[in-house]
Amino acid sequence: MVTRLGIVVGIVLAGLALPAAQGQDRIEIVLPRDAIPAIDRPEFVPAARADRDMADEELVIGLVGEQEQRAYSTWQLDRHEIVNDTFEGRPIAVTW
Amino acid sequence: MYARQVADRTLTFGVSGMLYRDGLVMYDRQTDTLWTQVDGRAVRGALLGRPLDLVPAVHATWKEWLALYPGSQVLRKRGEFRSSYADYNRDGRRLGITGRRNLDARLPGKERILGIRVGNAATAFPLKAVREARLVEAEVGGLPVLLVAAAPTQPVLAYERRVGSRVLTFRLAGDAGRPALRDAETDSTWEIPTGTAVAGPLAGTRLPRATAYPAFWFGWRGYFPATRVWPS
Repeated sequence: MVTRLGIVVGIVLAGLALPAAQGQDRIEIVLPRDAIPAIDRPEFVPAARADRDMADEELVIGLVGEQEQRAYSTWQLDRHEIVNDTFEGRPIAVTW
Repeated sequence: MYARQVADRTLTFGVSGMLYRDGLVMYDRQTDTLWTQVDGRAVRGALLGRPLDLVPAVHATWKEWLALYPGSQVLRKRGEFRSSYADYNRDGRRLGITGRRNLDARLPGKERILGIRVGNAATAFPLKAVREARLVEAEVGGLPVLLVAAAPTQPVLAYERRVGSRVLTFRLAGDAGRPALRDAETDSTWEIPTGTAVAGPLAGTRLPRATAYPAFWFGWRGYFPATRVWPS
């Protein structure tokens, strides 16, 4: 999801021009690296059990494979942004 | 959602703490390359210029998801029972945490869209309008796509509208309790949650999922200024 990086205490304009950037585009440093921790060892529970921890209107990102389906709560991803996972043998990154 | 396989390497990603055009910038722990999340592109470092391959995903509310995929697995929570962006998401005037203006009045800045890009072509599909239409057929960069939300209780699902090189056109079929798709070319019936033909000449065939990216309009437009907006 666009625009998802926690509460900003102080915004530092880093002045790092992107090679492909247009005009005054800059990468902005808003937090230290890994201040928002990606999830590297995801654990899963069956949907019926997860239900008690989820709100009806909670947005999820879902993977639908040949055999399996997997969902990730975006409310949870607000605090992690990235899940390094493997789905049906394929290494994937859930990003938000 | 991206594949982590890039140029024969498997990458793991972390949060760089940087933003570009108000979108997440990731880094990978193997090469320290910086990647912009919205367009999946390496913008600095050893893998500069490399794209990440998009993996098709479904975007739904929990209620919609659970109804379609009750046998699924769900990422285990450790707390995290509320969004940290609930106020931000509700506030139509706040665009980005660094304060952006909506540079393109085709849609309100906070309008929720699904964005599909194919090569250099990009189209934004406003979710509200797609839900009202229930079934949308379009082409993005020559790729025929289908977006469907057959009932108010179902999420918008995106598929490629083809089997091999054969392009199909669809209409809604089935009854209200169990909506389905039917293609005009072969009269096959397709199950919506899986995109699989369940009856007719194409029975057993599966439509490829299209890679649709959920975003606020201003964010998508920031990365893809030339994007089209469905239905125009």
